Amino acid sequence: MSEGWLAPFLLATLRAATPLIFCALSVVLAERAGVIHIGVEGVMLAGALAGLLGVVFWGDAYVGILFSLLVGLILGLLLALITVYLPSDQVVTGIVFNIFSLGVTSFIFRLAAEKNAAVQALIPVMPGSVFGLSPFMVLALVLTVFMWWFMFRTGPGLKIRSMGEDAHAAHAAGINVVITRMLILTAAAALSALGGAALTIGWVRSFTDNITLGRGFIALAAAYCGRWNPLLATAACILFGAGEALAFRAQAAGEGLNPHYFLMIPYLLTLLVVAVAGKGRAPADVGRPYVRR
Amino acid sequence: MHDIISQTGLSKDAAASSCAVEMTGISKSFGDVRALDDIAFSLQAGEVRALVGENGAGKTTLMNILYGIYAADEGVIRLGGREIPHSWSPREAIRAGIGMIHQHFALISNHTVLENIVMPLLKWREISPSWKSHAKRVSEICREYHFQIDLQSRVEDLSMGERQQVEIVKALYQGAKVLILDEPTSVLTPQQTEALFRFLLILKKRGHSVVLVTHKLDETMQISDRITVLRGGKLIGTIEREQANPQIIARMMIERDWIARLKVAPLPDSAAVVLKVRNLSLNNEQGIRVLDDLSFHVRAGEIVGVAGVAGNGQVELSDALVGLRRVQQGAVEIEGINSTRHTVLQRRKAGLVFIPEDRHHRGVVLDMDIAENIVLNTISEKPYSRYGVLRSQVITDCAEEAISAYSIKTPGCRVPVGNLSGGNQQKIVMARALLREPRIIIACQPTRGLDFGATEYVRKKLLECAQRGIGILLISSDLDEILELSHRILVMFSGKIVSDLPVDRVNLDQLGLLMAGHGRNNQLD
Repeated sequence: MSEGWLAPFLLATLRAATPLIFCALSVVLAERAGVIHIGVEGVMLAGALAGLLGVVFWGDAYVGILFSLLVGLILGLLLALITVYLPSDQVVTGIVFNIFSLGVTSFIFRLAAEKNAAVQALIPVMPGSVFGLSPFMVLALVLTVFMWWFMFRTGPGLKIRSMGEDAHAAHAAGINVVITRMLILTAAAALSALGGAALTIGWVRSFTDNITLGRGFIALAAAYCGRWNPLLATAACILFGAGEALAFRAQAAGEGLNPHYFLMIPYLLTLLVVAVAGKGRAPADVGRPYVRR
Repeated sequence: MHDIISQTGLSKDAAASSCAVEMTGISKSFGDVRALDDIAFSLQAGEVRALVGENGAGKTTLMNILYGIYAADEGVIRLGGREIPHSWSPREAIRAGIGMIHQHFALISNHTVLENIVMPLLKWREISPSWKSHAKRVSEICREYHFQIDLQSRVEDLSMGERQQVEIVKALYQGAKVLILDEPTSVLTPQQTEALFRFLLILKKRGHSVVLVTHKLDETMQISDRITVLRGGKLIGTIEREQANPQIIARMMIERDWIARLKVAPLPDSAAVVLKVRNLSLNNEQGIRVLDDLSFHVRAGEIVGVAGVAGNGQVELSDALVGLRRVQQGAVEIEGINSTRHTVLQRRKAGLVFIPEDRHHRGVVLDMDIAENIVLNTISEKPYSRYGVLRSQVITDCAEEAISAYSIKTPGCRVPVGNLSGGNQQKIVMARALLREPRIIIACQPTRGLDFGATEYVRKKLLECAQRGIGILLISSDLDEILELSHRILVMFSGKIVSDLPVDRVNLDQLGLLMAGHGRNNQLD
């Protein structure tokens, strides 16, 4: 490896970690309120496409981000209606939603490409970087600290965590569990979409089918390894990001070996970390729909 | 206790004020079941009211409606003369000064005491609550009512009695003027119960109203001013305590006379030991010692009661005996054969059967039918299956036989067990346990959640088994049950057996003290 590799490596790590951090925070938020957020992958994918389309059709990175957030909110509301209001099974709905999202994004991507060929090209680099740190990276780190403070130091945070620990107790304490969980899941989905935007607008600057490549699931793993604590979850994301950065670096340096082996690194790393992380104590009531009789 | 009883009767100014709560024409159905039918219930300020009835009478449902957990199908609720809005929820009930303490506490066990007490009062926009001033005011309430709870400890580390205090403080801190307690004494020792009643009378003196939801007649008679009886979702009536006695209330509750106490037959000295436990120790998943060096035995035809406040190792003991958990130390002998390393199946074949505490999760498979549940244990054995294929007719016959022998109320033997009442489900558990004449029965809370009739049936059945020479280990938190059925009583406290005495040498007070960890009896076998 060449001289001075550390700074670029750290930057690459953070770049790869940023989309994961947004998604991991969204998982932490939703699951602390008691809703399993498997749909994070699908929302992230939709957010990634929406962000890119926003940039292409309106010509501004920030409009792209806003559009991505809007799509996240709508999808979040849809997920909330199905898994909280009706409610249907959270895991099954999430999985089906992810498959749905994969198909729909690929379809819309092709429709958009017919309208405007620029959709398939690279979009401009997002402005506003300082020392190579993009606004997304800074926002991800700031949001991490904010989320931790919000969850563990504020009144609303306490109420949200109560809902995740025991929805019936929370209801008995006067919280409207259904409405609140719907709002939280909607907000969480917006965050997941932002993770997608961070991927397309902030990093790779293009879209391909299934561009998220299971990053939403890695974020789920990060939330799990991070014991549903925003700070630890982000730390896990950075670790997984390092795996991805390592994969690129090794791919560039390695000779003879098929590059696909290096691309396995982040996934193997995730599997390994989840395996050794041990069993965390999840919010006690997560995954159980709340039904008022 | 006498000074407590003499304090009952409504105070004058309380009687003069209007009704604190007035519920009229309340009806509520769950699916096809009519849980409440045209109930009227009113409560005055400064009154302690007992709401009694058998399981399923609708007591808790009625109070849940008042507290906004359920919405009534029909009926009107007035608080202080004003009708409540249609969108009634716990939040509004709390604001209106109603506090409810559920049988299963509505506490977040992972959060601290203070967080639990303050959380219901927090508004969503309160970003940084002033914890210090909250803590100060909560401490004042604790001091005022002589509660000793550490506000910073986590609820999961507290005993059941302490958790109840947290619930009470929570309700008071929310400004509750009407306090509803659902079966508050089911998790308490007799001493804790007495302390709770003393507290309720203080509360009453200060003009609060209390509703005590219970099916225990003794406590009803002890502290209530008036008694309301529900039966099968209907209001039977409300009577003044002075005009009531346990017989009258019991008759209102069950339409028949007070059940005569069961009598356990004396045990011959020559009875052989069927279950022997030596120096049994077990650590739980967290590495905490939950069973600590237990030694005891059960003889043929003997009923050994295990008393103790829930959570002192009873569940772990039954699991260890049945073979569901591996023990760290010690031995379990079934009829003289060391079975410590044996599986559940091997132990059952050796004659040890299990009536589990958690009927729904371990006792029966709710979605499977009665016949399937009855042969569940023996399904791979003749005559119920041959070459791995079930013999439907044999199983049906067997189930029909059990249904008539145990008088299980059901339209047929192919009905899902989930459709039956708790008592009938427990009869199925017993029928299965007794399908092959066992040598030992481990019975955990066999009558929990059952009504009078079913309770009596299960108890009689256990006595009958003992008479046939089956050894029974009866683990129960119902002290009356243990005193009534057992030959010998073990008391468990924090994983240890702190007392092992024949039934004629213990009394209720002594048991209560031992269960609370006070005093130790050295006469262990």
